[in-house]
Formats: sequence, structure tokens, C-alpha cells
Amino acid sequence: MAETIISVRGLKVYYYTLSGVVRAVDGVDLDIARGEWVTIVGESGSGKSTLALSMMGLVLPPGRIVGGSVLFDGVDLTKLSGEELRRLRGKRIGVIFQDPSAYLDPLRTVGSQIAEAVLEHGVASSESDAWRIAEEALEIVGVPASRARAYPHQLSGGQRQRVAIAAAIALNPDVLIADEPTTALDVVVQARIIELLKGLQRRRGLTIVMVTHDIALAGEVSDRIAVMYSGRVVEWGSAERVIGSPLHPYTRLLIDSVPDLWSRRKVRSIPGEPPDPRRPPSGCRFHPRCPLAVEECRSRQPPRVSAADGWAECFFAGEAGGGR
Amino acid sequence: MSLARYVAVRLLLVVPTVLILYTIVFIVMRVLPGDPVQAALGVHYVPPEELEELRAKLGLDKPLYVQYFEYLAGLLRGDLGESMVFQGRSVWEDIKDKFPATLELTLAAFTVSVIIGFVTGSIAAVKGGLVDRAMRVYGIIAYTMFIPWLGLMLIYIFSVELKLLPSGGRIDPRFIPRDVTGLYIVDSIITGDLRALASALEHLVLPALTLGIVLSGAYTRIVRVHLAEALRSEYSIAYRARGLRESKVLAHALRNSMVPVVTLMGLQLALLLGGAVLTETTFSWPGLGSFLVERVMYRDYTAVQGAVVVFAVIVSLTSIIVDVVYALIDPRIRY
Repeated sequence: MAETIISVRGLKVYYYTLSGVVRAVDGVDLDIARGEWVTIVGESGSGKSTLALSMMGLVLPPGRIVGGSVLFDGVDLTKLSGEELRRLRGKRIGVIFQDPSAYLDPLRTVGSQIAEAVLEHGVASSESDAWRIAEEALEIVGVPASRARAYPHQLSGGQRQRVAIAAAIALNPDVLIADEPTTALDVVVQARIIELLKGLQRRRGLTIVMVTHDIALAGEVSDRIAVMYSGRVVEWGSAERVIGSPLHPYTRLLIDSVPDLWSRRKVRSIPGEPPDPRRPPSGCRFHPRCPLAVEECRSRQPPRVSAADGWAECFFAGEAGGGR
Repeated sequence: MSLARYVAVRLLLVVPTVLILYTIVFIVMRVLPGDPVQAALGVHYVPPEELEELRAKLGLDKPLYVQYFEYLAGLLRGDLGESMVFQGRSVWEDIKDKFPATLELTLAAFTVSVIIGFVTGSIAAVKGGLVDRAMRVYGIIAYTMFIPWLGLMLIYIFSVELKLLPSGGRIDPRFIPRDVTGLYIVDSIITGDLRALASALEHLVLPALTLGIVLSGAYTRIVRVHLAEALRSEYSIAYRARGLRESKVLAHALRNSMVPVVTLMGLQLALLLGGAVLTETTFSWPGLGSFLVERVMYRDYTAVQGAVVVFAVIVSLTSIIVDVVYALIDPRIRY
């Protein structure tokens, strides 16, 4: 495995809301290698976005990192000051979000939004230089440089996401965090955006951390997959292995819930609701919905069972195929 | 539709607006008990024949619809008529005399309110917590403050106790500057008359502060709400994620929160230009507000009708300007 660029250790991110403490990320360990594509998969509220954004030290209020560490290239982000984090963001770690229309300032041209960040990080010597870099970034993501003078509302949804990607990669960062980058787009545009990201990963050695609820997409594009459930990564491993022979029953059920165009296999939904993250179930958090659950699952946090290329947190993970 | 065409259409719409307002005021003034003749004579006994003669002289003996259309015909020629109480005085000349005083007070109070409102509102949105609460309380207190009370308090402190500032009037009559624009401050600067400038300024401070503070409360609250929302918005998160300094994020958020604030600014400016009645009476400020109150008392039909027509035109023009400003702020707004 190549050099590790992001190393998450025992990370806990809690949101302190009026109705209680939401344990969005509750003890996560992950090592992400330079140049690979890691996808975090999970249902809404599983904490996958919180985990991904905390990898750039971006925790939105009322959230707080309450434990653990995030090492980025050897530096613990949880120990950095706001100003040190600011210098890192945009320059060494970029991010794109789900809805590019909301994440672009409606009142300013897209070019000026990209160029501004370029100037802010002191990469360009002048405004015209920054503008040139912005136009280059747009060309890289397949948006004509002339569109730099367009306002977000004058672009299509796909173009807006391309612009957001251009803004994120303009300064050639090591890591790109993509928080549900294609959820708001239609299928055809979705495929093109994924292709674009794949190209960036290959050509520029960009490390990509993508968040999605779409495990089929994750299996197609990623090198490794982390499956999240109720604030914990319950399974981790190479994409082929996780999709091909999942160890955790939750992963299994996620895969079975994907509709398949070619086979007439019945789509199965996962019974029950995701747990309330303010009051996670005891023991294995998946036990109330798990077809394999036994008494032990209710009382004890399952151990991390290693597989050849990763692990799963399940008492049955050692048995062939996680209860197939 | 282009901006120019939009403005042209809006300008045309001023005509029906004015017509409707004129009609309403015409009716209301006639419905009110009393008429200019009675109001001018007060309680003195005058023989009925003489009253009729006076009324005939003012044209009040004609049927109402004739009075309505005669005055309207004058309006179309740009003639606001003559006062019915102060014989021989042109309504237009009177309004022209009073308007600069109102404009001067309006601009000063407006500036005060916008500065206080933006500073307090921004601080509240950025700091949050206790500071936010303090600013919100300021906003409510300022907004609900009764102008004559605040005015009298300031007069008591600064004029009576400290003897720093005059308690009323627009300028020391000895120092009135040569008339150029009618705005004393501008005129005294143009003519280089420092004594006039000093006198005009010291007279302006208290009324501008009183009105400015009361108006600032609304800005505090509206700036706070919209700025806080903009600072929490996704594009602000994206700016921070790109490593932008918080000062820049704030600048962009401020611009995004401007549209609703500009609406309030336009409304207030338009209202103020019609005369700040309470402030003007508290500080004996000789503006349109006191003028209108006085003429309503006298049932000076022509003067009130004329003033309302001028007011309607000012409000319409202000709202057109506000719409143009929207388009300048927000590229999504196109007419």
C-alpha cells in the first residue's frame, strides 16, 4: 500500500443540540492511502458526511470533535488553530458538496469565486494571474473558459458541479472530499461527473474521499469502501471484496437493497429505521434490525474481525460470508 | 424586458398612482367636518351671507365634481394651485420652501439609522450569544421608542443640562446661508460660510439622532436575521472550505443579505421624505411634516392635495430606484 495521507484514529464528533447529544461519529479508525479513492457508504444520519468533512477539520456548529485525531500528512488537524486550518483548506484539501447551486454564491461570477480562493492562498501574483488559473481549472473540468464570467444561475446543474470541482482542484490539492457529489444530478450527468473525478484521480494522483448512500456507485468507482452505520464504520475493505463477499450483515442488506436492471431478483429493503443517534442501541448498534442478532449482540460491542484487506465489526464476521 | 423599459413602464404607472391618491385625499378632505373658511375664521361669528361670499371666492360653491376636475386640470398643467387659507400663496412655492428642510433631516437621520443598524446587526450576527441578545434588545427598544419622549430626553440632557446644542429650529436666523440648493449644510459649504455650517450642524444633531436611533432598531433586527442566515448558508460554508478569511466570508454574506435590507431602506426613505411629523414638531423643524399637519388643521384643501401629490411622486420614484438597486445587487433579478 502506498503512503498514508489521512489517518483517522478513535475519532468522535458529537453535535450538541437542544434535544440531546448526537453522536454523529463515535470512534472511527481509517487509513487512507495517497492516490486512492475511498468511499464512505451509509444511510442518512449515519455520520458519513460528518466523518468526511472532519477529515479537513470542517465541523459545523453545534458539532465538536470530542475525541481522537485526524492526521493529514502527519499533522494532527484537531490540534491546529483556525488560521492554520484555513491555510490548509482549499489549498491541500478541496471539497465539493451535494447541491452545487446552494454552495456557489449566487451574486458572483463563478470565475471570481474560484480566482478569489487562488488569490487568498497567495498562489497567484496578481488578479489577472488568479483569473488565468481559474480559467485553466474550468477548462480541466470541461467548462469553457468563457463561462468564467457567468453567474451560477446561468449554468446547468452539471456545469455547476463542474465549477465546484474546478474551485476545489484549482490549487492542485492532495485530497478531494466529495460529499454526495452526484445525488442532486440526473443519471447521465452523474456518470460524467464520476468520469471526471476518476480522470482527476488517475492523472493528478488526487486522493478522493467520496460520501454516498449509493453502494452500487461506491462499488463501481472506489478502491476501498467504508460502510458506516450509526456513527461507526462497521466494515472496511477493498471495493471488490466488500461488494463481492461482505462480512457484515448490514453491508449484505445494503447490497441486496440495490435494484438490478438485469436480474429479476426482488429488491429487499432493510427492515426497521436507522437508530436515533442521540440514543444508539446497546452492544452492536445494528442489532435491532439484524436478521442474525443473538443475545450477545444486544449486550456487547462486537470485536473488529480482520479479513485479508480490512475488517468488520460483527460477531459473525469470521464465519463465511457474514451469514450468507 | 430591459431595465430601461422596465423603468419607463414604472414611470408611466406613477400617473394612475397619483390619480388614485389625489382622488382619495380629495374625498377625505371633503368628508372631514369643517372647511377652509370656517377653519380660518375660527369661533368668530360671521353672518351667513358673508360666509357664502368667502366660499364662492374660493370656488367652494361649485359642485364637488367641478372642484375635483378643475384641480385635476391644474395638476395636469403642473399647477398645484393656491392656498385656500393663506391667500395668494402658491402651494408649490410653500412645498419648495419646506422640502429642503425635510430632505436635510431625512438624509442625516437615514445615515445615522443605517450606520447604527448595520453595526449593531452585524455584531449580533457575527458574535451570537449574549452580544446577540443585547443587540436584539437594543433593536426592540429603539424600534418601540416614542420619538417625542426620546427627543425631549436628548433636549433635556444636551440643551438644558449641558447647554451644548440648541433645542429646536433649523439654524440661527442670523446665519442663514445664501440660497443655492436650500439645504443649509450644502449651501454653507458651497459658499464657504463656516458660521452657517456650524449653526446648521448643531441644530441638526439632536433631531437626526432622535429619528436615526428610532429608525435604527428595524435595521438592527433585519440585518441581524439575514446576515446570520447568510453566514450559515451553504455558499459561506463553501467559502470557508476553500480557505477564505472570515472577513471575506462576512463581506460576501453581507452583500447576499442586502436585498431585504434595501427594501426596508427604500420604504423608510420614502416615508421620511413625506416629512417626519413627530420629529419635526418636537424640534420645531420647519419641514413638510409640520407643514402638512398645519394645513390639515386649516382644512387647506389645495395645499393638502398638492402635498399628497408631491409625496406620491416621491414615493413612486424612490421605489423605482430601489428596484434598480436590486438589479445591481443581484444578477438573478432581471426586468
